[in-house]
Amino acid sequence: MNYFRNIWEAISSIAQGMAVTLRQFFTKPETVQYPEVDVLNPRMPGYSGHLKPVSERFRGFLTVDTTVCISCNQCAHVCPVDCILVESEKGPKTTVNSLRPDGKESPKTRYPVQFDIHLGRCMYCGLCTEVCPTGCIHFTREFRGAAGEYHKLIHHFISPEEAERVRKLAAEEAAKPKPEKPVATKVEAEKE
Amino acid sequence: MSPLQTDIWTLNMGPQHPSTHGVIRFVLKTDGEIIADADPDVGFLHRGLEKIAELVPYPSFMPYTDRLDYLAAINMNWAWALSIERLAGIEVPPRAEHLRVITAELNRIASHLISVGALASDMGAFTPFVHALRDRERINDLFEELCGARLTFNYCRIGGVSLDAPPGWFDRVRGFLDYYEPMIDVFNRLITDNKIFVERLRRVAPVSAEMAIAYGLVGPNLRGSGVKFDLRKDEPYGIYPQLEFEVPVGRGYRDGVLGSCFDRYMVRIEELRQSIRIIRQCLDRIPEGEIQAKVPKVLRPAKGEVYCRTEAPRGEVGFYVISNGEKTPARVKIRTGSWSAMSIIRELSKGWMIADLVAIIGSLDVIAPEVDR
Repeated sequence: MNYFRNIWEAISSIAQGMAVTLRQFFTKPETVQYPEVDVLNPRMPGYSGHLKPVSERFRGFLTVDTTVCISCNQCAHVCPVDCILVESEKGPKTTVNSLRPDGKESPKTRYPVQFDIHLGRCMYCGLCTEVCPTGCIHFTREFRGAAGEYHKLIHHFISPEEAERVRKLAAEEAAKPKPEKPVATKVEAEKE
Repeated sequence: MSPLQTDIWTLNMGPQHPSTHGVIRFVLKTDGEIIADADPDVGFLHRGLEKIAELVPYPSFMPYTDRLDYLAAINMNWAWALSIERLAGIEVPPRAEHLRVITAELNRIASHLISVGALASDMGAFTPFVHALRDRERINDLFEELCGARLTFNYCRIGGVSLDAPPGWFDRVRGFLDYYEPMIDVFNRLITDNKIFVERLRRVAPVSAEMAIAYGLVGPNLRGSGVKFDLRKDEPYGIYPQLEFEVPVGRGYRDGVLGSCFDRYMVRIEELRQSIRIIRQCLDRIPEGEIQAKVPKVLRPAKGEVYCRTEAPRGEVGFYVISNGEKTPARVKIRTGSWSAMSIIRELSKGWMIADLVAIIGSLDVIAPEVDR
C-alpha cells in the first residue's frame, strides 16, 4: 500500500511543480538578449522597452568637472584602492559654486594640472563622491566600458594643453610681487 | 575465486565545480561511490582582507566588507559599522537603524533565495534556481534605486547609512513584499513539496545539536539542528528587540531526521517569511529624521578593543577590532559562518555518496569569499 502511495505522491507533486512551470509560458519574458538588444534604445525592434537600464542613483563610471575642482585631494585620500591621482598648482584666488543642489561657494586657489582616475582599479564604492566638498567628482550612469588595452582604463580628465595653460597661469601668479606671508602659512596648514 | 577487490580512489572535486559555490576544492578518497574522506582545500579566494583592514582608515574599509560576502553585503557592512560604533561610542539615529534593518532583511531574503535555489539546482532541478533569481532580481532593482549598486552596496556608514530612501521607495518595497509573499508558496509547490527532492534530502547527513555546537555551527545551520539560537533575539542589536518575529528551527520536517539537509533547507524557507514580517513592521513605524550621526571626519577611536557579532544570512559574523588610537585599526579578525560550516564537512560526509556531498555543501550554504576572506 505504502509503495503505491509513494508513487502517487511523487507523480502528484511533480505535476504540481510542472503546473507552476507551465504558467510561466504565458507570462512576459523577464530578460532580453543583451547586447543584441540595445537596452538604452526602447525603439529597437523586438524590444518593448520594459527594462529600465539603470536607476537615477546608479554608480557608473566616475567623472570630474575640473573647472569646479579645488584640488583638496580628499577624494584621493579616502579612496581605498588609490585609483585617483590629483596634481595641482597654486594659482589666482577665485571662488566656485558647488555642483550639489545647495550650490555652496568654496574658495579656489589650487588648480589641478593632472586628474587621473584608474577605472581598472575603481570599485565604485562612492566614498570619493561623498567627501568631495564641491561635488565635482560624481558618478555617471554609463556602464559600458570595455577597453582593448589596459592603459585605456586610466581616464585623464585634464588635457596636456590645459595643464600647460594652468602652469603658465601659476607661474605668472608666483611672479607677482605680493606680501606672501599669510598665504604661505595657509598652505602649510593645509599640508598638515 | 577471491572476493572482488576495491581500491580507495582519489578524486578531485573543484576548484571549478558548479556545486562547490565558488572556488573551493575537495580532495575525495572514495570507495566506489562512498566517500571515505573529503579533504577541503581552501584559499583560492584569499584576498587578505584582515591585513587590508590594518592599512586603510576605518570608513574606507567599508567597501571591502561588501566583498566579504557578496551575496549579503549589507549584513557585512552593518557588522563592520556596528563594531566601530561600539568601539568609538557612536549613537545611530533611529531612521538609520530602521533603514538598516529593512535593507539587511531584504538582503537576507536575496541571500536565502540564492541558497535554496542553488541547493535545488545542485539536486538536479534547474527551474527553481531561475525562479529564485527572478525574485532576487527585484530586490536588486530596489537596492539599485536606493544606493546605486546591485551587488556590492556599500550602504551602511559608521554612524548611519549613506543615503536616504528616494521618494516612493518604501511603497515599492511594500509592493515587492505583497508580490513576494505568495511566491514562497509557489516556490514550495514548485520544489519543496516535490517527493524526489524531499527523499533526496530528508535523511541525508544529519547533524545532532551537540555536534553542531561542538563544531561551532552558526545561523540557519545551527537552527536546522533544533538549537534555538539567533543573535537577533539572544544578543539583540539595532532595533531588533522592538520587533516581533519567530526563530524557526529544524524539527525533522517531512518525517526526516532532525538536523538533516532538508531541515536546514526548511529553516531558510521559513526565515524568508520572518524577514518579510520584520520588514513590514519597520515600514509601518519608520520615523523621520537624520540618517547620519555626527562622526569626526578622521575617525580615531580611543585605545581599546571590541568583539561585535551580528546575525548574517550565513550565521554569525563577528569583527574583533583592536584600536590603538590611530586612524587605522591595529588588528582586525573576522569570523564568518561559512568557515565553521566548512570545518564540519569532512566529518559529515564520511559514509555518504558523492552525490550527497553536493547536498551537504548546498544545504550548509558555504560560500567561498566568506571561507577565505
